[in-house]
Amino acid sequence: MTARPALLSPQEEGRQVRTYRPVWRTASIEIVLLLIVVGVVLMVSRFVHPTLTETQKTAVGISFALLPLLLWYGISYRQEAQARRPRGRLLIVLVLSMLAANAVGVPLVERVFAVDQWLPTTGGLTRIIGYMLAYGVTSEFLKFAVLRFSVWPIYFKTRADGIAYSMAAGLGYAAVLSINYVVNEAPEPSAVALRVAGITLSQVAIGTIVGFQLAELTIGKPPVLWMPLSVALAALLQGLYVAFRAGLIVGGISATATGNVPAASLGIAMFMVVLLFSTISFLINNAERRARRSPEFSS
Amino acid sequence: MRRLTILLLCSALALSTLVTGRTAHAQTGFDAVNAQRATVSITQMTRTANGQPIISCVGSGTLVSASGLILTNAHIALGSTRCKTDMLVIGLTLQLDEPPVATYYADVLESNIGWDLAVLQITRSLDGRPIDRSVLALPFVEPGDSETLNLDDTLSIVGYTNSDEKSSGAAAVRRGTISNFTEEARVGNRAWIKTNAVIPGRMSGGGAYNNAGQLIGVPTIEPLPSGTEACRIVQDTNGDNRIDAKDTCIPSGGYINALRPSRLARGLVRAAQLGITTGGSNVTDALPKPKDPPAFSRLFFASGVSAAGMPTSVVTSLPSGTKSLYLFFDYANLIDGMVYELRTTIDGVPNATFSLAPTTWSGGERGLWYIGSREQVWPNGQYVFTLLVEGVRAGSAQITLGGAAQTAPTFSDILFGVAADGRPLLATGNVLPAGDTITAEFVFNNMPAGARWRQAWYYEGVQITPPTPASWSDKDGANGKKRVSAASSPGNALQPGRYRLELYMGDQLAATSDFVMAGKQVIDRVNVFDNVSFASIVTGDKPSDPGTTFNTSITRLYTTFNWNELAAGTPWTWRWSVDGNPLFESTQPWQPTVGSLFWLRIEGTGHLPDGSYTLELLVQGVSMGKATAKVGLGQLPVNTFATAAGIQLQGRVTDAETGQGIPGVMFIVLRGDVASKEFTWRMTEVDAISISDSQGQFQLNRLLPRGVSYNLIIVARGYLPISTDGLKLDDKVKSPLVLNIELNRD
Amino acid sequence: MTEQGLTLRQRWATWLTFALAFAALVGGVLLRSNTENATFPFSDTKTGLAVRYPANWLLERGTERDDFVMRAQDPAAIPFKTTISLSSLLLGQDANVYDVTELLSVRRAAALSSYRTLDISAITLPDGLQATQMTYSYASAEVNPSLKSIPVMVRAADVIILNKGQAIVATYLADAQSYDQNQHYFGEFLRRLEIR
Repeated sequence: MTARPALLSPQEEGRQVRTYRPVWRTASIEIVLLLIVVGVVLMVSRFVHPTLTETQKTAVGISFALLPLLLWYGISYRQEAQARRPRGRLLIVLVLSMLAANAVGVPLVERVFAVDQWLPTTGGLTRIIGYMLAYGVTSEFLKFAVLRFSVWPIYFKTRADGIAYSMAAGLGYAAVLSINYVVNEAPEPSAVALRVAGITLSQVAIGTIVGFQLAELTIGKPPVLWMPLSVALAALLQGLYVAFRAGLIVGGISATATGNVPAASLGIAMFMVVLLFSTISFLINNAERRARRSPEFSS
Repeated sequence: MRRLTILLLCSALALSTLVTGRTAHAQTGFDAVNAQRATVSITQMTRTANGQPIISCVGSGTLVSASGLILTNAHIALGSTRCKTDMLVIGLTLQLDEPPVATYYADVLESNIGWDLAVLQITRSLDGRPIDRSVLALPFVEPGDSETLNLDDTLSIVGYTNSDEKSSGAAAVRRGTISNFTEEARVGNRAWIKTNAVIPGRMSGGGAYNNAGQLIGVPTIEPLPSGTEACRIVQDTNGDNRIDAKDTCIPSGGYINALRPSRLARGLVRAAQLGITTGGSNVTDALPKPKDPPAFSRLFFASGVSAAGMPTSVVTSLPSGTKSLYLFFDYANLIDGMVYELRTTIDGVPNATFSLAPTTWSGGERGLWYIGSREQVWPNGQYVFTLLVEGVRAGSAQITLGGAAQTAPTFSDILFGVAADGRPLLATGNVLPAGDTITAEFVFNNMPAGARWRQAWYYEGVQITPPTPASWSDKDGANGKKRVSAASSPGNALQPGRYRLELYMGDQLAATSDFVMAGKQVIDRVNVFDNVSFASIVTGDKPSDPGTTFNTSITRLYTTFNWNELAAGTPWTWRWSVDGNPLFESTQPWQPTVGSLFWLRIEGTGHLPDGSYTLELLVQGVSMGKATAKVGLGQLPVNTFATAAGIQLQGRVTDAETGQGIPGVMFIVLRGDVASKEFTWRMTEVDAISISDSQGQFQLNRLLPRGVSYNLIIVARGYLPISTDGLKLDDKVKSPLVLNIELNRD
Repeated sequence: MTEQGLTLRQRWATWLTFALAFAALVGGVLLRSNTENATFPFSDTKTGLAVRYPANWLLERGTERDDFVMRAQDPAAIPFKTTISLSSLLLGQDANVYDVTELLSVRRAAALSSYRTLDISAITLPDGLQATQMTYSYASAEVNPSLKSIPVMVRAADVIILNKGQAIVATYLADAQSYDQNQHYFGEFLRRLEIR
């Protein structure tokens, strides 16, 4: 038996194995890629004017509705697998949230609350409250329930775990909403691009509030009301998003046409993303800094 | 994190630049699209013996109100032997490049056979359901002022053409210029506008527009009897299950070069808008139809026409540069509604400018008629004028124009009156009071002493004075005025009726004029009609509430009057107007009633509108009585006729994400003083409303006046409502204004 | 940590979140109910009728030329505007309710395409008043020829109440497909109807 000489060489940078996947970074990359695709679709729609049949529209729409999942799978999920401590239940959370959305969320909003039958024509405050109660609480509570009964608290080791799992739940929920939208409405590709991006970004961004609070409930000692208040806050933001999204899109009427601004929906979704990612990131950093200074950590 | 944030924001900003808005455009003048949309096809239909509906004749029409008033030719609206009419089917221009779509039935509201104009009202859908005209929102055009037209003005004529290999049968626009204005008896100057545009006969009844886009005339041509012109055989009309030459065809040929001016149509349209119709009189017996065939005779030319429609002087030739020439002729045994035509050749070449396409006869059974023009120079040449009635040649005359003016002896300007011992004639005109003597005064020029001349007097076509050849007296001079007279034999007063004086120079007719003897002489005027009064109720030929002021609730207005010495058959005219706006006019032979009271009536479809109603009675074009009655306030409601101005607002509502039209969207225009945020969903706050169709198309049911700002609300279930305040529609905005509305879901 | 190993704080947080969700569910249903069933008052002194109609429906008060006292339309309804109206017919002493139904049928048959009377039956209104209900259907077609729509089948109901020499007719018109879904508006309308 000959012993092979040990090679002493520096570790390759690209193969550097992290302990945890950097959640914010991968999410941001996915969002940028999604926005780029949206941009391409809008450009093609505007300058090429493709003529699609209803079936083609539906096929393109469903493909686009699944795009965020593919991006997430290709970037976040694969990097997760390469991390030293991968979050192993992400796929389960994603699937469960899809099931919850399809089995409970969509039927509840569309059939029980039937929001489109009465909310659009009501006043601004009623719309915000109505969407918060009917649409926001439903989606945020279902995502909370999926996380609460599938991975929490066992898989919530760090606060970033809460963010990662909540993003997976948000993505799953958003995918079902997007597919439901595409199948029922058969919209133009440009409209699908904007709507799917808006749904995905809002669900993912707003869902981090619940994810963060669940992690906090595991790691920290927040007041008991903070969890329900977080769900309520997330639901309120969902209500605000829906109410403001359509309101911002609709412009005035000129002498020949309505001055709609479809990209405004993306603008408000991006605003949510930036606001919530920054805020939650700040809160996590703050909490972890405090934890490192605490006597427990030093001991 | 910061870099990521910046990256995300940049991406969003880049995407937002992909959204752009749209801008409005404006246009003025003739709006071909609106004119075509306002053009309707009119199909006269009748039923065969087995009850099958068949097409008898087709024509065009023009919508003159959003509520479905249509201006067209009377011959298209009213039945005739050529075009039997049990029902009128109205086809609309739904797509500009497509044939009309049969949509409604219409009824005749007003008509004037002589002017060949009629106003129809859309009344029922094709399934027979009555139409609520207040909810109709049809495209329409506004009648303009045809009196402002000039020779060589550009015209656009819009109407339907027959579909063939060259045409889809859609509403077409033909352009041309005004080539002449034709005068005609009863109507007077500008009875016809002549154009050099090539207008197919199918366009008859359509619209002619000036450069401002106003409707200024109605292209008019009568279809000729079967066999005399091109005809299309399209259906089995005799029920033999074969379509062949035995079936009745639909007239399709002929080309129009004459337009009836909108001036003549205005009264009919106005009456239709006000819902007023003529309700007849207490004469119910129809005149017996002549047994002999129609005839034109005594064709001669005159260089001018007097105010009474009589020739100023008879001419046999005229010099170069002549602008005024009229063909006069006697007619007999004609029936209103027959078709007559004038064909003119110059040096053997047919000339459309001075011809008159087949048109409806309206002069009654017998009398004197003329056609001519005075607004442009007649070219030099040998003119042959040929008259046709019912497609058959009925008379011809020729005249040469050219050369220098000559100083030949002439008689002209015959004036009738009552002689009064060397003083000027009293009661002058073409209506003389009944008496024993008739006196006429005429102008003579260049008369040489000893020239042979004679006068001949006629009563109802029969010469009543023996031929009296005479030599021109030296005492009369060469130029001046001369009186002639005729008297009845002692004890036999002259009978009321139609008289004629002919003056001959040698054997050549030199001057002639007709007059009517009727009425009594009261001081220096003739009194034919008196005691002209009004009533809202007439019972047993007696007015129940005579007066000149009536309350708003009346539905009928009668005018009653007595007459003096008016012979049966004498043409007389009645003319109704409201607030000075002429409504109806009719000339007909006098038919005395039983008793001494004659009444005429107008009716409102509901209440008679408030206004000052004037009736004028005329004989030989001379006013013989006039009276006014006030109904209600004595004035028409403000802006009664101003409804045609404004912008037609229409468009499409689509789903912003699918691009599909949204049906059932309510498009609301609020009253100007109600902001969209103050709207409390009461109809009293709504100015106009439309609900989108299955394609998302909408069209308001009324025109929006220009220069006003509008507040809009657009609402549909499942979509975010849109509202806007202060949408300004100024003069530059083109009508129809098409709005593309995109609605968003939450 | 297992489910059994949860702290009291965590358990309470969970239960409170559930409570919040339940409260929101109830709140959402109540909000919808309140919004959809909100009403505005209407009264007409001439006929002595007072009623509440659905809020934010387009109200039209009848004039002398109209055959209705009031008419309210749901402006957002698609494709046919759900309509509730109230009209009053003067009756002779000997008239009975079937004279009214016959009169209404004849008038409507003359004005409406494909009119069919479906059923005439006696009903009791919420306040105990006896009334007669006539249901019928017809095809509602677009009157503007420039607009193209396949006629909508409309299902309708007249509730006829005889009162002091007049027949009060409450009418409900809806797209046949959404007739049942929107009938609660008419039920509420009848419940609030006052004949003075």
